[in-house]
Amino acid sequence: MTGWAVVLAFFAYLILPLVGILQFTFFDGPRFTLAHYLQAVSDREFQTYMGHSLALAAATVAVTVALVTFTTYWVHTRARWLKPVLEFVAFLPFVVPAVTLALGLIQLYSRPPLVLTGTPQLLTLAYGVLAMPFTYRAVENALGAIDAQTLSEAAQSLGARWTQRFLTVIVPNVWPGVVSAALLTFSLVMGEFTLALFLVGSAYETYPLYLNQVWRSDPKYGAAIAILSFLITWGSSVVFLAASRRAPGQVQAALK
Amino acid sequence: MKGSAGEARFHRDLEALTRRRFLQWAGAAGLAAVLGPRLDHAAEGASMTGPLPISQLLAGAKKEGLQLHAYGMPPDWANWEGIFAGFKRKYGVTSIYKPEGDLSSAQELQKFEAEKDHPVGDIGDVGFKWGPVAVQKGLVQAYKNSHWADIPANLKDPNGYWVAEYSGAMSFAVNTARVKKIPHAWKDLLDPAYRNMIAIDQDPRQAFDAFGAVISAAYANGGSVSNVEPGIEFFAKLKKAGNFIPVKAELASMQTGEAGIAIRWTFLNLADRDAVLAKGGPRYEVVIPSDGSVASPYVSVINRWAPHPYTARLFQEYLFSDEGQLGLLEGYATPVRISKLKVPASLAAKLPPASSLAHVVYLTDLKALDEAQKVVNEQWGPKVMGQ
Amino acid sequence: MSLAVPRVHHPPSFPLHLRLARAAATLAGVLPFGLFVGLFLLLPVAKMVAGALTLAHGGVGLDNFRRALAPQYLSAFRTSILLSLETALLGVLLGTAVAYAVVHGAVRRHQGLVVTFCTVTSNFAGVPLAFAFITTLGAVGWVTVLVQRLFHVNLYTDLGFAIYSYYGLVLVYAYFQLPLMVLLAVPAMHGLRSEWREAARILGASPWQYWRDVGLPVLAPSLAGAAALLFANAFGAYATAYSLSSGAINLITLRIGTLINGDVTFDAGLANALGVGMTAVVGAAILVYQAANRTARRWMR
Repeated sequence: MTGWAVVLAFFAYLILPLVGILQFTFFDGPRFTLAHYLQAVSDREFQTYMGHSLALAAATVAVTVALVTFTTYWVHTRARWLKPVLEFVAFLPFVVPAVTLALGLIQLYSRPPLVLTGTPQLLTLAYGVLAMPFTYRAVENALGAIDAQTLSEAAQSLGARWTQRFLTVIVPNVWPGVVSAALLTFSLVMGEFTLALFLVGSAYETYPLYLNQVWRSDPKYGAAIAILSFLITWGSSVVFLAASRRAPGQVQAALK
Repeated sequence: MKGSAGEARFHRDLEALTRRRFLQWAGAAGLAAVLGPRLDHAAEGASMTGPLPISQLLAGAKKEGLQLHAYGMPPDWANWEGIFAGFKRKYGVTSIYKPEGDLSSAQELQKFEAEKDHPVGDIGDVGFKWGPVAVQKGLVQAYKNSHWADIPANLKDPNGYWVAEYSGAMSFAVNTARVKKIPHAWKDLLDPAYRNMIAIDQDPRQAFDAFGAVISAAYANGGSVSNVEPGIEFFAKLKKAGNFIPVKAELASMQTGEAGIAIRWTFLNLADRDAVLAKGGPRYEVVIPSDGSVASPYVSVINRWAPHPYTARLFQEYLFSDEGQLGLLEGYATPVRISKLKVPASLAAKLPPASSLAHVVYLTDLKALDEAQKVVNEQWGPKVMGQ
Repeated sequence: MSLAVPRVHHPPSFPLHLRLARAAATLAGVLPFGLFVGLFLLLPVAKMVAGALTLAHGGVGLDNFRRALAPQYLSAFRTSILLSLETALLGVLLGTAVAYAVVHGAVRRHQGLVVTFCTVTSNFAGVPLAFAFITTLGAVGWVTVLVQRLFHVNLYTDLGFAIYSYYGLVLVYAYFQLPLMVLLAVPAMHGLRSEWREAARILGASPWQYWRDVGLPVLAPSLAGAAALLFANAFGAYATAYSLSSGAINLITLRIGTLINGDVTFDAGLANALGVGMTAVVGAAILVYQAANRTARRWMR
């Protein structure tokens, strides 16, 4: 029973501030209106930029989660001594102010051989860096929860090669961590503003940039698209979670 | 203010206003002359500096692709949206400016510098003190548009590296639904009726119009731009009384009513007053405080590595032409060439009366501004916010 | 020839070329990540450090660091650390409870709903979040107005509450810290076998004993790691703090913002020095966390 109470209280706290925004968007003074939400339906810009953000999020998730999961497992089993280094690196993105990171990246990558400024590719890589602390921690938590060492050695003694062990034994077992990592990365990209402004700006405008713009001139519409983005992100994660309920590999079912 | 008699009177008032203002400006320090340009002119011929005929600029712009990339010029600030639209109608140039409008002066200049190997931005709009900073760091290129002579000497760089476009005065936007008695002076703000109402544009250590609010309060309390402490102490008093709240004075907080009295530049308050009304929100009344109000110009700069130098110059020509300057006026900003403009009566009626602007102090003394900024940086946190 | 040699203690006479080959293969595995991090994180951080050592009028020196030790910046570090510790602790306690309820409790069936909702709220920060809280608990927020109407008590004038205060900030930070903790704790909770709880109960252990001897030791490393992450997350937060407090609370990220994001001051050197200071604080936090982890691991044995 306390389980329900805790979760309901949690949800109540999360919903409360949203009520304020909803009231702001549904009422013009005393009059109820759907106009602010309907505006988004015909807003080509909103749709395009939302599409950009979703694409960036998908790309970042694909690149980052794969790389971090692989590296975390590698270090966990083959290079334990690197773990403190990995952990320190995983915390670095928090201490660099976003503007400093952005300006540094622009300076480094505006010259040949690596001219990446103004491209969504650079933004994806930068987002990968920002998401790294979260993806690492999620995967590491999952890895620590299973006895990765024993599972690894068991599989090894049965003749599985490294890639086989990784893909068919480890990944299915850290799947909740991988899923958490993907979800965290996804929502991070959908909400990030500063790097997008500096690294691409109008060249590949994203939803947060558009939101900020709209907010200045039409806050009610801005609040409405903030709610819509909330729903779109939620919907996308529900779809993702449903699609990923089955972890690759059958070992997961046997362990439940 | 209707009819030609009213118009003539308005023009006379403006002439008198400008004469008085010019005498004040003449006393201001010319630090710009001291900070000589630290630029090498290898990248640009001296011919790019002097006014160029529109035909030549247009030809160059066509070769560049009829595109302009502007930083720090958001659509709803001083009617940039209308001005860029007019620029497009007249010359066919598409301006890209909307997301990058959010860049602050410091960010614009840092971005110009960081992307110099692969430049993107052409022009920027920065606060008055940033013109000389940009020159000192070698980030801008010079251009003297054809109306150069109309602009007072202290509002432009003698070598053409920056030039003031417009200014606004410090004003109160008062929510008449929450407030029954409209305050007309800073000293009125201490009234307990204004509890939890007074807002500025966030932090005066970061936002220039918040900084301007503190300086205005200083003038109202026996201080000046060279002595801002009285302003800081006044805000400390307001905070202690519970009247001043750290909410951002912006359109959103005016619509919700959270910012009961928003203290910002006239062009921001007036434009938002209209926007709030248009969307069914409360009616805000904009007043200029009678005991202390400052104004500070914003200046236009061209990126030294601008990918579209001809288009940037063409834009400056447009901005300083009558059409461009009137566009600024439509955004409630006072254009720098106002004394030379023929202002249509309908537009004149929307602006605050010239008499209320009579006592406004123009902040053009860079040394004093720098000193004031140091004081605010040190004292705002401890004295006002109890940090 | 496979390099999958069993992990046994190598006798000193193990051939050097095989040992080197093994080391090279190990490093090859971290190369992609190393390259990625090196190019897009370490190089910009190195630039930040270099910027901190660059003086305003040219030349190299420690003057920026000297200025970074001014009382207002030290005070900002203190406030930021305190805020981060409090919100991290809050997040860990409440987030773990929710994660447990969601994985093992009666709410199990709705795990997907909770997890996805937490996904969105964990990054719902900055201007929209601040605005949401201001419309709710601001001076004319709907909760403030409702409380006034129902109980004739004004939160602001009678109770001295303000959403723009330090505790207002804690309340708002919790909005993304708690969901973040839930998302990090859920994978760890999956490692806590429900059979163990059953077994403990059958053996006569009270819930408290179960947690003390089984549950917490198993979860401790993950929870400590998540706590450290929550700390760093709060420590580095900027947009939410500025949108909500407008600089009323002295946080180090806001001090840095004033120096590079504003229209009044500009001092990149000092900002970079403060950034290096932030790195030192987070570095210290990691050391504390790793020490706590080692103790927890020993405790678990």
